[in-house]
Amino acid sequence: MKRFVQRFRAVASSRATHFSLAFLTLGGFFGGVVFWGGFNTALDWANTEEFCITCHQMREFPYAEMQTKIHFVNRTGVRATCSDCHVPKDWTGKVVRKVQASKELWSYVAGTISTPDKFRDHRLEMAVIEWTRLKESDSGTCRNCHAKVWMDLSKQFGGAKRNHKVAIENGLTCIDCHQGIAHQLPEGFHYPTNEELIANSNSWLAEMAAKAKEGAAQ
Amino acid sequence: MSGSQDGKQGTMGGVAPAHGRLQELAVFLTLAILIWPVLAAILVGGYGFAIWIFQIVFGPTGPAG
Repeated sequence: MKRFVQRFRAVASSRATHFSLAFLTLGGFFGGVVFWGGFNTALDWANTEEFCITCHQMREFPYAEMQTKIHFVNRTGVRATCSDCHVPKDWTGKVVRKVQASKELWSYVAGTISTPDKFRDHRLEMAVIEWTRLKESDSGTCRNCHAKVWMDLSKQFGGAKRNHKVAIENGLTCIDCHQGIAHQLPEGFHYPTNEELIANSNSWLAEMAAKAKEGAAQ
Repeated sequence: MSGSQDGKQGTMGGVAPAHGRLQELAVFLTLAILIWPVLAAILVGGYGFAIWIFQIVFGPTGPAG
């Protein structure tokens, strides 16, 4: 084995004597293209809903909960899949999120949320992680499809029209009001009022984060 | 490193090649198809980890992030 490695290194670090520059550079170029395409294809495949729900934890809880919600089935048939909301679209953000998924692989192996009871116990903690991510990115993944600047308030009614006006005027972000838009809300969550948000739009999250910490310490 | 075995720099100077055509092809393909792609994947993963840790310490970048 050691001799094999030595001989490999000897050939690898010497100049090519049997193959032309054209062959070597073209071969390397194609190798790079195939790798880059393959890498990103694999990355995108791991972003598909099909992939996400191979884990029963995802299939039986968040995916099942979404079935009746507007981001799954609605008037226009335009829907969101797991990665639309949970994985940033920009390349760097996407790669960071995929690396963070190593934590989820660990949880899968350790069975952290493998039963309904365990999932329920961790629901608030998981929700806080996602709400924090959305707060910090100004609801970045929501804004991949929705945006206040594209909202025609005259086409909205009642609560939506009123509340979006408040949101725009007070610089609120989507997740400040739209918690539970896709999955079941954790126990003990209550929607912040407009007054509370106008006073301090971060307090609802701070309160939930504290509650989650408390719960985890038990 | 084996580069020093090649006594004359820049020209072959009549020295017989230390390795054959097949070996050269094998090393080229192993590098191009196995080693460089795996290394690239490791570097991208490492980049992801570095930013993850950076964001844990310094927080994430602003709204465009």
